[in-house]
Amino acid sequence: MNNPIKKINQTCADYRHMNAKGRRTFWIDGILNNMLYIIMAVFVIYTASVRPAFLTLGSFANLITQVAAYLPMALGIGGCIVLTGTDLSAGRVAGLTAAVSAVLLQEADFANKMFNNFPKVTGWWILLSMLIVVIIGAFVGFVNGFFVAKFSLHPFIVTLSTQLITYGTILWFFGLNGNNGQPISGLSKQYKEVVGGELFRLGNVAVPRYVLYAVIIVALMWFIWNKTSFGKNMFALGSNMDAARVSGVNVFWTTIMVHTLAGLMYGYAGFVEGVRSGSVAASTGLNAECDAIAACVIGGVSFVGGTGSIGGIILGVFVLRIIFVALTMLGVDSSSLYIIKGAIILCACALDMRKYLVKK
Amino acid sequence: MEENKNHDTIDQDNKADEQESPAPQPRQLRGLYKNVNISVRALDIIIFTCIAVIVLVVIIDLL
Repeated sequence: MNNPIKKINQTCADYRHMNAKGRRTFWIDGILNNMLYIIMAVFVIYTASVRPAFLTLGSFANLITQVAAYLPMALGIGGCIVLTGTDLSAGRVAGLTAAVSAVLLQEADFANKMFNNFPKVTGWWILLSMLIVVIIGAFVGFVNGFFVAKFSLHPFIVTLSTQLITYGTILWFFGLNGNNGQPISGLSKQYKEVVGGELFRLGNVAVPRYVLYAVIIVALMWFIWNKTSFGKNMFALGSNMDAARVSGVNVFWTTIMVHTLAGLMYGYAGFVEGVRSGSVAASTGLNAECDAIAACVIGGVSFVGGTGSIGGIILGVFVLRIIFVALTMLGVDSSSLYIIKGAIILCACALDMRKYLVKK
Repeated sequence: MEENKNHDTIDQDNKADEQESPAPQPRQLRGLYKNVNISVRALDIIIFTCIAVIVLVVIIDLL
C-alpha cells in the first residue's frame, strides 16, 4: 500500500475500531516514533518566534547549502548502515581528501605554496584533482570493505582503525615540505568558482554550485540503490546475509563495493569541504561521521539492517541541519551542540530499536 | 438451537486456545543490536532522558 491517502484512510478505519487502551498506545507510539520531528518542529516554531530572520529566504538558502555539503557523506554511510555496519573513518577521509584537494589546487603565485611543481590550475587540472581525491576515498573504503568482507571483522573495529591511520596520514601530510602542520590556504579562484561559485540567489544569499552537484549525486545514488542489482543485493545482504548468500548474492564483492562507494562519497565530500572551509586544517572533517550517522538513523536507515531509503537520508540530514541552524540562531554555544548531538544520536538509536520491537 | 450450540462450542474452543497458547514473545533485535537485551519501557526512559538533556542544555545555554 504505497498510496499515502489510502494509508491514512486505513489508519483512520483501524483507529475507529480500537478500544481505549489501543487508542492510548496508538498516540504514545505515534508521538515517540516521531519524537525527533516533533523536537525539530518545536525548535523551528520557537526560533521563528524569537528570531524572525530564521524564516527568511536567506536562511533557507543557508540551510540547503549546509544540507548539500553534508548529504554525500550521509549517503555513503547509509549504505554501510544498511549492511548492519557503520563507518567511523568518514570524517577523517573527508579531511584527508580536503587537504589533498587544497594542496593540488593552491594558487600558483601563493607565497606559502606547499608544492611548487604542480601545474597551473585549469579546468582539466580541477577535474583530475577531483578524480585523484575520489580515488583516495574509494581506496580507504575498499580497505574497509576488504577487511569486513574477507575476515568478517566488525566494521566498528575496521573503520576505527582506518580512522586513526587516516588521521596519522593527515598529520604526516601537513608536516610535508616544511609546512609544520600549518593550515593549507590560498586556494585557486577557479577551484572556488567551480565548487562554490554562485548558482542562483535566494534572498540576499548566493546558493553555491555544489547544491546542484548534490542533486546529481542524490539522483545517481537513488538509481544505484533502487534500480541496480547491486542495490538490491545490498538490501538483501543487510536483511539476512545467509539467505542472500544462498540466493546467489556475492557477499564478498557486495560488501567491498558498498564500502568503496561510501569512500568515494567521502572523497567528494572532502573536495567540497576544501572550498567550504577556505583553509584546510588537520581538524577538517573531525566528527563529521557522527552527523552523518545521526542523519541516517533519523531518516529511517536502521541499524537492524536491510532498511533505508535515499529520501529518508535526505530528510534526516534536513532535520539535523534545521535543528543545528535553529540552535545556532538562538545563540546556543558550539560546545553545547556536541552534547545535543550525542543526545540526538542516542535518542535516534533508542527510537530505532523501539520501532522494531513494537512492530507487529 | 443447533446453530447456538455450534457457536458455544467454537467460543469454548477459542477460550481453550487462548489459555493454551503461550504469551507472545518480544521480537528479537537483529543486526548491530543483535546482542542488545532491552525492554520497550527502558527505551522509553532513554528517549525521554535524551530529550530532557537536550531541552536542559538549550535552556541553560540561553539563560
